[in-house]
Amino acid sequence: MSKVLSKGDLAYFQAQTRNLLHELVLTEFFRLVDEKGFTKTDLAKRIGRDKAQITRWLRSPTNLQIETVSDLLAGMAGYLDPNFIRIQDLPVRNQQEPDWARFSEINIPNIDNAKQSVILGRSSSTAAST
Amino acid sequence: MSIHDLINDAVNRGRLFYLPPKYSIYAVKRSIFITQEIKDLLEGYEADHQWKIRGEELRADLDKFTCGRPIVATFAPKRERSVLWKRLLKSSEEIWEVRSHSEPALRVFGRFAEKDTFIAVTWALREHLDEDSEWNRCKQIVKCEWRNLFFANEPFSGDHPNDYISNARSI
Repeated sequence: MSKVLSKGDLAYFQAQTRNLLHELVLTEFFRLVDEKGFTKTDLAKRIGRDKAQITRWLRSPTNLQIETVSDLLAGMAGYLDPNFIRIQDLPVRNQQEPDWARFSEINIPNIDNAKQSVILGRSSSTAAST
Repeated sequence: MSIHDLINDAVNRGRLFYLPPKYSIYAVKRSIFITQEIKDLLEGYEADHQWKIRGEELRADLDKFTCGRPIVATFAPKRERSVLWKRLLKSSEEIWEVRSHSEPALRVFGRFAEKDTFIAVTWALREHLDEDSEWNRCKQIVKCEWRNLFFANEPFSGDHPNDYISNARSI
């Protein structure tokens, strides 16, 4: 865990976090749509915004700020309950390509086990487990 | 030859590259294959430090697809600006754009070989796409590269975003 992460690695996880927050909002919104007939208009009214703004927020993760996420979740009668996932506790997956793939790993970019080990904070000798 | 055989062949000849999630802790639910041009972008266009960061942000957007996350997709016209996956007009060309909104905003263009299998061919900066000629240039590249890779095989075609992308939603 003493290795320094590159700005590129940090940018990847920043983008992923934005995407996950967006997904959280989207998933809950569609659950309410499917189960309760909730609409963008309902959400807009509840948080005092116009429907077009709600649409923009729901469409793209880059439109969301933390305060916006809070407003949207509150508008859906919820709040954020974040979990810290320890990457090193997650299994490494052997199967990364589709079942029908018949190509050599040499043609798969960015499968760099040594680098992954630095990012994931574990020994490069850790056995793949799934 | 099936489309799978053709993709395998293209990968083994180094014409396409399979793009798994960046980290092997993620389960793979959908597939993306990329050309050398997209690979260069992801690995740091022009070996510039800022572009390496931008490449990583794009990688996260593409991994969202590969990992089977919900995708906002549409067939809607150009004014639908903020959606992430969009089939371009005209629909019979079956060309999709993937919108990556981090700065500088960029677009990746490609086609579906089958449901949940996307072939990413070329890209452009959003600021360069204000002119029709640049859109047309990107679309021509996709069509030309598709013919080179898959000969007379037509791209996958559907009537709804969910025909192309499982777990796709429209806003």
